[in-house]
Amino acid sequence: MKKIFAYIGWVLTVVLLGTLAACNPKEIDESADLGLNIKVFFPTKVVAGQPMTINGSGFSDVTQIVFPGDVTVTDFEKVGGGMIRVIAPSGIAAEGGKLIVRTASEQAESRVPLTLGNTVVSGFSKQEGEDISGGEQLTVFGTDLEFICRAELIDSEGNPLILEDEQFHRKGTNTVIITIPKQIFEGTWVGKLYTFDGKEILLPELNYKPGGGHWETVKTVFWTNDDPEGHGPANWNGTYRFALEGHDGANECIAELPQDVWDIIKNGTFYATFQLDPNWYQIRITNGHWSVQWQGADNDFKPGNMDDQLIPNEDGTRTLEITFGSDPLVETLDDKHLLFTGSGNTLMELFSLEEVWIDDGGETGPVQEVIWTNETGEGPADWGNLNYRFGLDGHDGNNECDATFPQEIWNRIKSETFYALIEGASPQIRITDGWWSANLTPDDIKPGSDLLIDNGDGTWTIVVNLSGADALLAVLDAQHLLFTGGGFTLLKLFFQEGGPTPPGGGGDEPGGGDEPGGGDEPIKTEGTVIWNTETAFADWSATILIGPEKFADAQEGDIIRVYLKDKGSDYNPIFKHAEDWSDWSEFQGAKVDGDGYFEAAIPAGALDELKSKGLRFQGVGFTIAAVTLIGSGPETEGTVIWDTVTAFDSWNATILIGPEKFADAKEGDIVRVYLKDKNSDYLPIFKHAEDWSDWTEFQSAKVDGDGYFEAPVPAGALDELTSKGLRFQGVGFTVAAVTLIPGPPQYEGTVIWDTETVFADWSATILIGADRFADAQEGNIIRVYTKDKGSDYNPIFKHENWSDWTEFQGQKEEGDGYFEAPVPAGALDELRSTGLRFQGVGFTIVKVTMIP
Amino acid sequence: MKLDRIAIFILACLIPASCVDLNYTEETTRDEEWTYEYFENGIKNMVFDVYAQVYNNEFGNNSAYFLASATDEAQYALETGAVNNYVNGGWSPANPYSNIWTKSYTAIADVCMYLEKLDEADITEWQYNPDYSLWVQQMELFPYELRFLRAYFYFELFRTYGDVPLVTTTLTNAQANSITRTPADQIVKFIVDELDEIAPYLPVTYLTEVNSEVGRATRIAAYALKARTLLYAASPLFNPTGDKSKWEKAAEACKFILDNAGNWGLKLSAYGSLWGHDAFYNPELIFGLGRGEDNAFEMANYPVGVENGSSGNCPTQSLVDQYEFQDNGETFRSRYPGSIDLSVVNPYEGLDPRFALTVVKNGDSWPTNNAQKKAIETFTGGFNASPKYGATPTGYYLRKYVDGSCVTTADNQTTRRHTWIIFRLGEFYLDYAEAVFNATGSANDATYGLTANEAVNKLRERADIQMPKFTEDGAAWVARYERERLVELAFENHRFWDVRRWKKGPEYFRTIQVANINSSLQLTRSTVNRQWDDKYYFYPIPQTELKKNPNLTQNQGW
Repeated sequence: MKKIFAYIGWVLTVVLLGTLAACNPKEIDESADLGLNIKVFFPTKVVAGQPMTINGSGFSDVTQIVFPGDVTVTDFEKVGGGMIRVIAPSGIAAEGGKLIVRTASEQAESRVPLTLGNTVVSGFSKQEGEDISGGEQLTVFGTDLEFICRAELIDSEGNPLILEDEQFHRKGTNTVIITIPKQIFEGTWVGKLYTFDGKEILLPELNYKPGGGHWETVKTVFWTNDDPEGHGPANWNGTYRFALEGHDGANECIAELPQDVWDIIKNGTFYATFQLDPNWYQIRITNGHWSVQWQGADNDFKPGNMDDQLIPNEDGTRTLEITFGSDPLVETLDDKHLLFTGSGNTLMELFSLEEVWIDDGGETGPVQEVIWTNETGEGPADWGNLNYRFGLDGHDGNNECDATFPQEIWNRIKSETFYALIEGASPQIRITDGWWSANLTPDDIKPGSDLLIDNGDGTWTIVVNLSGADALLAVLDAQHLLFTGGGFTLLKLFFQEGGPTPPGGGGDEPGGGDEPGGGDEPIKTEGTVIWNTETAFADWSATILIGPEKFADAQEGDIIRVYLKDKGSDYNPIFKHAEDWSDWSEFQGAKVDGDGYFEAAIPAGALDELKSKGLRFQGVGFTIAAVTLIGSGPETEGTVIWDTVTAFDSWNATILIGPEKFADAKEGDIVRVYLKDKNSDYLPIFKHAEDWSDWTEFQSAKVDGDGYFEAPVPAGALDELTSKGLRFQGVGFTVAAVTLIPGPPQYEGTVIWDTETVFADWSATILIGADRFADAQEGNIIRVYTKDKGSDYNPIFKHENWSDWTEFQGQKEEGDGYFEAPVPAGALDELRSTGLRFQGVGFTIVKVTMIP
Repeated sequence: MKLDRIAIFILACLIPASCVDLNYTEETTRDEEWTYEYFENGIKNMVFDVYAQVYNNEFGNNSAYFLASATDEAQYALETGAVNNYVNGGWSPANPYSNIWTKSYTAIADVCMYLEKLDEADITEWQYNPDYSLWVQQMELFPYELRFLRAYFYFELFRTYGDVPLVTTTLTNAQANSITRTPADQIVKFIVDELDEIAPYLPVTYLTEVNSEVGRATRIAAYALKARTLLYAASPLFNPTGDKSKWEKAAEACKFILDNAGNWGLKLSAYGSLWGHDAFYNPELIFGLGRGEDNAFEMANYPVGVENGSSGNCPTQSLVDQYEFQDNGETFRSRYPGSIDLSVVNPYEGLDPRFALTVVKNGDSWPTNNAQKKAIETFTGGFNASPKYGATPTGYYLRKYVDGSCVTTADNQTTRRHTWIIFRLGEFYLDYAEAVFNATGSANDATYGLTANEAVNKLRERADIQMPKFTEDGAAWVARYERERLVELAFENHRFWDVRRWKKGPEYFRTIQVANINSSLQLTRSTVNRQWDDKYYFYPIPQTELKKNPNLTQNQGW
C-alpha cells in the first residue's frame, strides 16, 4: 500500500539549539586539529573506475591515496579540508583492505576495509527469445549491480544507443530496471551492459519491437501548383523554376523555397508529381541556365526512357522520386536555380516523405503501481465459493476481504482506471459489490470483451474504471468490491499511467460515458470512447488513425465528437480519409465546434469507409483528449438519468439508477424509459432498488408510449428514490435511455418576478420594483424559486442600494427548490418605495412569488 | 517505548549547548547503540529526522517563516508580526533570523554523523522478521537520501549567506569553532557534484519501492535541486561578471528536466490543484513537504471577521498590478492606473485566472466551507476590514495555499492536509527560460531546442490559464518574464530570493502599493515605504556564531 511518507507531523521534529557541530562521541577533546583521519568513505565496495568520496580531517595536505594492493593514486579532488573525491583505480586487491591517505609526513588508515565489488548477473525478467517492446521495463537481477553504469542498445536506425545509469529506472545492488526506449530497433538482437570497471554483460537475445507507438509516413508538401491551367504545361520554357529564398533577384522563379526545404532538395530525397500529356511528354530537370542536367545531358524522362520511374497515382498523375546525390547539378542550384522543363508535363507539386514516430500511448510513464498481489496463491475464482474481495481500511469488520486499502488508494480505485491481471484459459469475470447488488457491466467480462486484453501468455488484463458506475460506487464503501466469476485467478491489481494499451471503447457500462486515459484530470465525455490517448497536434506531422473496428456499430447520424484539451490560436482540425490523408469533406462540411470539442454527424455515405478503413485526423493548434461516438439514439425529453443501451433479454438483466439522479425529483415528475427494441415477450417492471420487489406505485401508473414506457413519480416514492434509487428488471426490450421529465411546476403565491436569472458571480442581480409590493403586508412570504444550486450557493436579500437587508437575511429559510423570508413590518415602506434586490452566487432564480 | 524515548529526546534537545553531545549519556538517546540495531524506530527515524528539518514551519501560525510578507507579494496584517523585521529596520546580526543557519547546519551535522555511522548499522538480529528483506532494501537508499538532503541544506545556506563553511564530516567543538567560510562557487560545485553522483542511485519514484513512501528524495528531486542551484549560481548576485557559461550550465540542467518530464511521469497541473488536501499526489509535484491535517494556516490567513481568522499575509496591490488581462496581455496597472470605482466597474474581470486563485478581493465569497462562507468586505467599515483590528492593510486577503474548506469556528473545526511545494515542474519552464535567455541573448533562440518564449508559453497555454503568448525579446522580455515568474510562483517562497539574486531589491522592495477601498467602493492606491539596504541581499551571520568562531567573517554591511 502506498504510504504517505511525508506526513511526518507525528515524527519528532528535531529542535536543537545546535550550531555546526555534531560532536564525535569518541573525540570530545577540545583540539581543533585532529590531524589526518579517515572517518568514512563511500561506497565501501567499489570497482575500478567508480567515483568515491572519502570524508575525514586534515585532507588539505594529502598527496596520495593508497588502495588495497598498494595501488597509489595521486589524481584526486579535494573538497574543503574534509572530503576527497577520487576514482577507484584498477588493480585493487581482490581481498580488499584498509584505505590509506598520506601526506608528506603522516598517513591515516580507514576504520573499515574497502572491498572489491564483482558484478554478477543472475537473471533477467525476460528470457531468451521473448518479446520486448519499447516502453517496457527489463529488470536485471544479481549482486553488486550498483556498478552497472550504462546499457548499450540499438536505436531505430540501427545505431548504438547508450543509456547512462541516470536513465535507469532504478539502480540498486540486487536489481537494475532499464526502460527500453520506445523507438528501438526492431529485430532480434543482444544488448549489453557495462560496469564501471569495463566488464561487459550480455543481455538475453530478445525480439525487440518499437512500442507505445508506430511509424507513419508523413507527406510534407513544399509547393503546390495553384493554377495548373494558368501556368500550363512546360514547353521548353522556364515556368517551373525554383530558387532558394533570397536568390531570385531577377524574379524568374515561380517560387522561392526556404533553406530547410532547399537542403532536402539538394541533399535528400524529394518527389515531383506531374500531370502528363497522354500523347507525349518529356521531362528535363536542369538548372535555370540549362547548363547541367540531372541524369545527364539530353537524358530526359519520356515514354520509353526511364518512364518506369514515373509512378502512377490514382488520380492519373505520376510521381518521380528524385535524389540528386552527388550529381553535378547540385553545385549549381544555389546560383542558377532548379528548373523542371520539357514538354507535355505540368508540374503539380513537390513534396517529401518522412517516417515519423506516432506515440499511441502517451508518455512511457512510471512502472506499474501495484496495489495488491496474490501472494498467497489464492484461486481460481469460483462464483460463490471463491471470490476476490477488497474494501476500504476500517470497513471490513467481518474480515471478508482479501485486502483493504487506505482512503487515498480507495479514492483512486473509485475514480481512476486501474487494471487487474488474471490468468486462466477461459475467464468469465463479474465485477460487482460484495452483496452482488450492482454489477459494473451488464454482462460478465469474457474473451472478446473490450475490457479484457489478451496478453498472449496465458494472462489477461482487465481494464477497470468504476467512475461512471454510480450504483456500484454508492455501495462500494459498505459492501466492498468483488471480483467473482470462474476460470481465472486474480494475480494483481495495479495502476499504470499510459496503461497496457487499454481498449478504445469501454462498451456499454452503466452510468454513462467513459473517461479517457491520459491527462491528470479526466474529461467527462458523452458516448462510447473510440480514442482515448492524449495527442498533441502541434504541426502537420501529427495525426491519429481510428481503426475501422471502432465504427463497427456506427449508424448514420451518430456523432463523432473530438474532445480537446488545448486549443491554440492556430486551431485547425481536419477530418481526413484514413488512407490517402485527403480531407473528408463530408465531415469537414458538417463540423461544428462546441465547448471543449468539435464534432460532426456521420453522413450515410461515410459509413462504408468508416467501417472498412477508419477515420484519420490531422491539423494544428489543438490537443485531442478523447474521441467518442455518440449514438443518435432516440429524441428524448427531460433530463437523461440513464444513457447506456441495456438489453433485457433475461431476468438477470437489470439497471439501477442511483439516488443522486433523483435529487431534484418532485412528485408528478415523469420517469420515462426510451426503448430501442421491443419484443413479443415485452415485460418491463419498475422495481425497488434494494430488495428487487415490484414497485407497485410506479407499475400501476405505468403507460406505454411510442418508443417508451413511463410513469409519474408518486409523492410516496420520493424518499426512497432520493435515498436508494430505482431499479428496472424485465424481459423483451432494450433500454436506450431513461429520462426524468419535470412535472408541471407549482408556484405558490403571486408571481412578482418571472425572468430566469443566473447568479454565477457577484455582478449578477435582480431588482424587483416597488410596484410589485404595492399590496404587500407584514408577514407575507417572499419566496424565491431556484434551480442549479451550486456548491457556492449564497443568495442574499439586498436593499436597492446593494447593502444586505439584514431583516430579511436573518429570517431567510431554505425550502425544497426555493428560499424565502417573511416581510417584516419595518420593511414595508422601503419595499413599496424602492423595491427589493437580490444578489449572490451559485444559483439561478426561476421565479419570485409573494405568498399571503 | 517510542513515546518514552521521544520524551527523553525532547528534554535532551532543550538543553542549550554549543554542540550536542551525542555520546551515550543520559542526556540524549540520539546515538545510542540501539539506534543502529533497530530499523523502524532507530535507523529509519534518524533519516526521518533530517527530512523533518526541511520544513520551515511554513504552514504554522508563525508567519515569520512565510517570507511573502517581506516582499512585494504581501504585507503582514499586524505591524508587530515578526516578518516585518525584514522591512522595518529591525533586522540585524543580533536579530538575524538565524533559523536557516541553525537548522541547516544541524541537519548537515546529522547527515555527516549518520553517514559515518551507517556502517555500524546491524539489523541482522531481525533477519527472521518477515520485513527484514524490505528493510535491507530501504537501507540501501538511505545514504543517497541523506546526501541529497545535505546538498539541499547547502543550497539553502549558499542562497541565504553566500560563502558558508563547507562541512562534510562530524566536527569537534574546536573544529566547529574555527572553521572558515568557503566561497560560494565551491559550495555550488559541491552541491552539483554530489547530486550528479547520487542521482542514478535514487529511484525515479517511490511508488514502486518498498512501502511506496512517496515524498522521499527522488532522482528527479536531485536534478531539480541541481538545476535550481545552477540558476542561482548564474544570477547576478553570485555571478557579478555575467559569465555566460554559468547560464549555459543552468539552461542545460533545466532542459534535462523538461526533456525527461514525460518519462518521469511529470505533468503540468491545473493551477488550483497545486495546493489542497490531495495536492501531495499532484503529478506536477517533484518534491513537497506533506503535513498532517491541520488548520493553523487557515486560522492565520482567513480574514478577520471570519471566526478565528487573523488575516496574516495580505496580497498587495503591487502583486495585483502584475497580473495581465486575458484579452490582450495588458497589466492590471496599465489598464487601471489610478483610482477605480468598484461600484460601477469590475476591474478584475478578464484577469489572468491565476489571480482569482491567489487573491481574495472585496466581494468574493470566502472561505468556501458552508459554515463560514460569506461575501468578503474589504472596504473601510466592511465586515472584514478596518477599523477592525488586524484587518487587511492591502485591501486583499490570501487565497493561495489556504484551504477554504477548513472550518475554523470554535465548534466543529475541520482540518485538512497541506503540502508545501519545494520543487514543481512549472518552475523549471521558467528557470529554463531565464537561463536560456541569458545564455543566448535572445528569447527566440532555439539553440537548446526550446526558446525562452516557447518555455514560458508552455505555462501560459495550459487549459485553465490560456494567457496571451510571450513574443517579446530583450529588455521587454525581461520585464514581462519577471512579472510572469511573480504571478506563477506567488507565495511559493521564490520572490524573496529571486529579487535578491537579480539584485533588484531597490526596484521591487523599497516601496509597495496597497489598495484602500472606502465605503463608497472607491479603490485608491497608496505607497508603503519599506526599509531596503543592499546588505539585505544576504543574511547576516548570527552574532552568536561570530562570537564562537573568530574565523567567521560577517557579510558585508552587517
